[in-house]
Amino acid sequence: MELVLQAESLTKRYDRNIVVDSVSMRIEQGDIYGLIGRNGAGKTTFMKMIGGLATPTSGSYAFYGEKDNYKTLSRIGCFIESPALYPDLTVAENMLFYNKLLGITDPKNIDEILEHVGLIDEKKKKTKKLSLGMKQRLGIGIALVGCPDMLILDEPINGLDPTGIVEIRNLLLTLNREKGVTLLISSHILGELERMATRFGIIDRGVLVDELSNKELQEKTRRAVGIEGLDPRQVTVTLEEMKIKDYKVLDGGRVVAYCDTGIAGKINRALAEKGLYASGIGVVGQDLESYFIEKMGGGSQNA
Amino acid sequence: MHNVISAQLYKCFKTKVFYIMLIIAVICTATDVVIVSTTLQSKETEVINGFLSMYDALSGGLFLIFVGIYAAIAYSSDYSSKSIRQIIGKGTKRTVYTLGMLVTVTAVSLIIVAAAYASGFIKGTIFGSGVGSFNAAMMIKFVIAVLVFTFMYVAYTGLIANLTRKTTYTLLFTIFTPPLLQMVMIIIKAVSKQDVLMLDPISMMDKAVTVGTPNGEYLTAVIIYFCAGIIFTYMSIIVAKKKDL
Repeated sequence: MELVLQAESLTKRYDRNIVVDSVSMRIEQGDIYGLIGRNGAGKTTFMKMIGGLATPTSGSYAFYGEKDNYKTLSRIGCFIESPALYPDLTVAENMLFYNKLLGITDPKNIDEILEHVGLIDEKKKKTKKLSLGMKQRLGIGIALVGCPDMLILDEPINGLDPTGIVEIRNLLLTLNREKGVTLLISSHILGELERMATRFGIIDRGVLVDELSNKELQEKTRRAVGIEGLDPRQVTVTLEEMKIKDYKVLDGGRVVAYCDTGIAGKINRALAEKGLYASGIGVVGQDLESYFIEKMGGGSQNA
Repeated sequence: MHNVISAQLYKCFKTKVFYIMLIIAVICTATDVVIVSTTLQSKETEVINGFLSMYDALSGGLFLIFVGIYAAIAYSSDYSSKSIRQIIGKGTKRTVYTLGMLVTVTAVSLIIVAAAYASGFIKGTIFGSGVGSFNAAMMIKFVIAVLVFTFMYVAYTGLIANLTRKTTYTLLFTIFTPPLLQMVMIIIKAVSKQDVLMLDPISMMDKAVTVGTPNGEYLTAVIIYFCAGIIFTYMSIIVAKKKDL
């Protein structure tokens, strides 16, 4: 796999405040990298640095092995913080502006992109008259001008209605799967990231505290039936009898059975028939959100 | 830089502010109310014909006001809409962007100024009593002065826009700097009680575009403000490179 982004100890300091602290990251071609963190964790600043909008205090980064980012930025599409639109220009005129900026003379890509982002019917509308969701879509559309190989998207689904979220998710997945576009996305909607991302990075107070693949996340957040308060040997025998082979005995004698979580009741009944009454039995496991909260130390702040 | 200029020109001609400024400039110069330079009117009113009327129409402060308002709005639009992030994010070097903007805004400002002068010329041709005639040397001096002062003022506006990134601040700084400097020069002149060379943009612009200014004073004005334009451009590039977006 070609290495798209390699960031080495990237740091951003404003006066004495370290916003991004020695973040190293590797993103390969075809990855959908979900960047997760609380407000002010440093996600946007990190994205701004690699998008050429902010100068790192120290550290370096390279796109496609090239350290001069101006040469490679034309292969990158950015959508950072909020859609950047000229309010007096129409949707199509905004797109045409960026076409001209990139020296694209054939305007047929505009209709294609607008079709993709679901704004083809609004192409003659002035952008100041668009709803927030439409502006978000146009922002993504503008990021797509020039057929970038990588998209850096900061909160791209903010302000979208549920249908819009699904459409944008499908659009991004299509770009990734059919055109091989690599994505770096941050989002507060962790469930959405969980559906899309192939890799995750958790950033807290400027530090990349954890990085894991979707597979690793699935492993860590696997749903299971937890049984407590019984002799683990008796429990595992019962599980074997029920043809449940995938289980773990944890410290403290807790048994976790990786099976259809809908049969927790059946397991309980089987144990009870043997005179074994568990002090606790139920579905255990996390989703990305609870995993994230656990990583953040159980804080209740926003992602 | 060609792409930046092409895109920015496209945007400028698509936005209302260009047409509004164009109309205001034309209307202002077509009416007597705005003839602010009194040099010709007070001394030689009878010789105002087409060309002289054109020179007179937009000299000094008014000329700078038109350029300043347009340049301030055009420059800060990329910051206020945050489009600057997209432009730089698409791989445009900040130096290229700054220079491209300077060329574009200067060119579009000159269109507005040219339209205003043309309006003054037409007014003078129709209503002038004129014995004055076309003078090629005077015309060349006039055109050079207009180019230099437009360039200087646009470069200054660009620097302010890069520093403040807010339309309101850019507008205020741009519009009020020339009269403020003129006021300072007047005070200096009054205090020193000597014949001080008025270096403020309004006085210098007056010297540069007014008929009959001695060549020495004309050249001083043009050279000083051309150098100022270069310095403002250089500072703009430095600010654009240093500041995060």
